[in-house]
Amino acid sequence: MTTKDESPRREAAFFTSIRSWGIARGEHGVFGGVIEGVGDRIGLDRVPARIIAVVLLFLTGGFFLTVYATAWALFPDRSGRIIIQDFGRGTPNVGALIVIAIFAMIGMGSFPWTWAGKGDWGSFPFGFLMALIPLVFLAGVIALVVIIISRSNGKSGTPGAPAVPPAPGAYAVPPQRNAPAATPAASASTAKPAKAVKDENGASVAGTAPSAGEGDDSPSGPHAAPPSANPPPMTPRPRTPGPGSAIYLLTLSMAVFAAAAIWWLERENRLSASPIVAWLAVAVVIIGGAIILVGAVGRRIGFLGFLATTFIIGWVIGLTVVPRALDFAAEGVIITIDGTRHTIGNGHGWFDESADGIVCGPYSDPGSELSDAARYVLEPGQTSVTLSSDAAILVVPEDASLVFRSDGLTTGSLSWGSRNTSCQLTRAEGTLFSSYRTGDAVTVTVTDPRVTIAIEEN
Amino acid sequence: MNPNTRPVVYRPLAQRITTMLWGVAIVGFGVGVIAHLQGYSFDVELLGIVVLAVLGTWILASAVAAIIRGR
Repeated sequence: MTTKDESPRREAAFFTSIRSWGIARGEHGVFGGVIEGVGDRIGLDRVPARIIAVVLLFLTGGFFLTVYATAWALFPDRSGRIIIQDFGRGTPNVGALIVIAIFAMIGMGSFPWTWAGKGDWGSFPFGFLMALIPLVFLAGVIALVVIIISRSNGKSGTPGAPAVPPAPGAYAVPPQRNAPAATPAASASTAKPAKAVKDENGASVAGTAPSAGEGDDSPSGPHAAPPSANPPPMTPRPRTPGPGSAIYLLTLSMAVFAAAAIWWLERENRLSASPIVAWLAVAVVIIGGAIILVGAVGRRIGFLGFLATTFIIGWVIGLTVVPRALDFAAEGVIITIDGTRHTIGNGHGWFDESADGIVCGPYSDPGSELSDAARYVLEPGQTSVTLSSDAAILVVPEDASLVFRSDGLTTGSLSWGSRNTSCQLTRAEGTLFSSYRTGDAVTVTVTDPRVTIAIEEN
Repeated sequence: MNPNTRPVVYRPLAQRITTMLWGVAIVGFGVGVIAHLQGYSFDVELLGIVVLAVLGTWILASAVAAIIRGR
């Protein structure tokens, strides 16, 4: 019986070509066995191969790391599995992918044409674009793999496509995924290689044209070989189910609830980060929770593994390669003036550095202006404080939401060291500005028309 | 053969625990990102030490489990 599930999985010529190089990652490697595999291929023992690798690492640095990461992702292991291919097929090796991504990011980050080696994007004529090169490169590699695999899948589904058996040594189905009953049959029928290939891959036996005698299934034949002439029925390959629609829907519902909650927080001005960024962070937690659930019920991670890997790689890139894209959440001050939200002060030029009546920049130490400053420490549960002196140090909880008010025209300076922000104020009476974090709002009333305020977080 | 007619085999206990640990690690990563967005800063060196210690414990536990299974 010929069925789609029993036919070998086709793969793109790209991967077949890589397999033809004869390099298989070793089983004793520290990081994926790339060095062992290459050493085996060229006849070099593990120890000298590793020594050479370490020397190359010191000599070439990031270039070697990038090449290593690429080789780890593309070279098959001893059972024929290619990490990047499995990633594209939705059965990722999450741990390996994370380490590969880290290697690649470290490696590419040290290339001279990226910003990392030059200190600041501004030193390039097209600094920002240069900084994006590694990201574009990674995106290109991922897109290439997806295209190759989708084309390969499309070919395998073409009606009437000739069933070409895989080349010797080519990866059809990883050995550990084969039916247990099929493997012995394949290994025992070495005298009939064509039959063995078909049996191992589960293709149609009826389509084989056996030579005279071989196909004779008469029980009276002295050399009748019932196993090959009339092979026993294939034992169905057991499968471990994926997460299933219930868990997928549960995950999706959590993601939708999270979006609603974050939108509400944004509406209430209680979010200290961009709502999309916040949702992407919560999504990681949701996916992780779903994977815990999948593990508990003994299912495969399946597509959730792909999602988790994608999100983690995205966040690693966001937090390490382009950290300034997220700085506004850790530095700077998100304030609300007259109902309009502003992110000010981190000094990186990504966001507003000034708002109505407030001009901010990187933190500058007020120094002697605060030599006689009064110190105000907010206690837990305190909802208001009055700054009656012209120089004040206000100590607030890290998550405090602050609403600054005054009874008259107020000018002065505000320094917020932990947010790397200093501002000059010129505001009329009423609410000067508000800074919302997750804590309860505290009203800070300023009485002196010209003040110097320093905010410290405890 | 229809995949639905193939026998279903669920993961053994060890693989389930491994999968759940991956899930816990991913949740921890997400919580760390959220904390970072809230303005908390991390001691990266200390974080690296903790990660290595946890990884070592994990591998050690795997070794112990392998020994127990081998008996």
